[in-house]
Amino acid sequence: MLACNEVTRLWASEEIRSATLARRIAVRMHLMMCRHCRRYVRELALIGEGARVAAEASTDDAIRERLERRLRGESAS
Amino acid sequence: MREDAARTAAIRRGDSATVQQVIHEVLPGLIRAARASGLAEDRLEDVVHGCVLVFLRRHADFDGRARVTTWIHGILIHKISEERRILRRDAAREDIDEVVESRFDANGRWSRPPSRPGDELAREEVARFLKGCLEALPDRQRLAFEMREVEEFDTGEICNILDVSANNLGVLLFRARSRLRECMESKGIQGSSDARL
Repeated sequence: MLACNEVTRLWASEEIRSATLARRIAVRMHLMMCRHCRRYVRELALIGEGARVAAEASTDDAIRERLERRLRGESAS
Repeated sequence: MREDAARTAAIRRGDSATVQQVIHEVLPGLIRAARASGLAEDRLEDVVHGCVLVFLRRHADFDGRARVTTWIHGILIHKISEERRILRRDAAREDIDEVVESRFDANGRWSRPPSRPGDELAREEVARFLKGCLEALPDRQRLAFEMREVEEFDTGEICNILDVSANNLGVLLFRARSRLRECMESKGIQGSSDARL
């Protein structure tokens, strides 16, 4: 039986992706039974999504346009 | 993941339209990655510019074994680590996260289970709170996390870009996510008490 700290580590490090089938099943079983770890996993997904939203919101248009202008000047010369 | 063969050939021979297209595609990600690595705002433009110049000079060396995006991000990280040596430090030498460890009892069960940071928050609110939490992360952890979640590189590509082992990347991602979750949790509690004022 896997402990919670091991489940969270396997999940957050993504070691779970390369784990043996037995281990992946053990993690799934644990998640079915443990609401705390289910919440942990859900929160990580929420945080990943939040990071993507935050990145979309902070546009770097000005710096990108300056760079493209500089680079166009250089490839033309 | 490999680059498309026809595109690789066009990049190698320096086809101008293809090279311009590649640069156009990678610029936003390069700027984000440069920022995520902890560079100051006023250094971003020059560092990304230098990285693209290396690409323009060395396009013929591109072998297509990785996606061209991955290859250019590797150039960027190499350039940044010339001035920020900390990016090259071994993950194993980073401090053990006592905050994280203290959430479990001796048997590895939750002693302080997660207390819903932002279950009720809108995505935009999560994003707003998350910004401060991301800034508080150690540079390497933030960079690994953003490459994975924002740029959506696969883990093998990130190992390649950051020049770390799969194990090291796992440690970086685990610590980044644990810290972000802890940070969001504390802000979540903060947020609801603010709302009552």
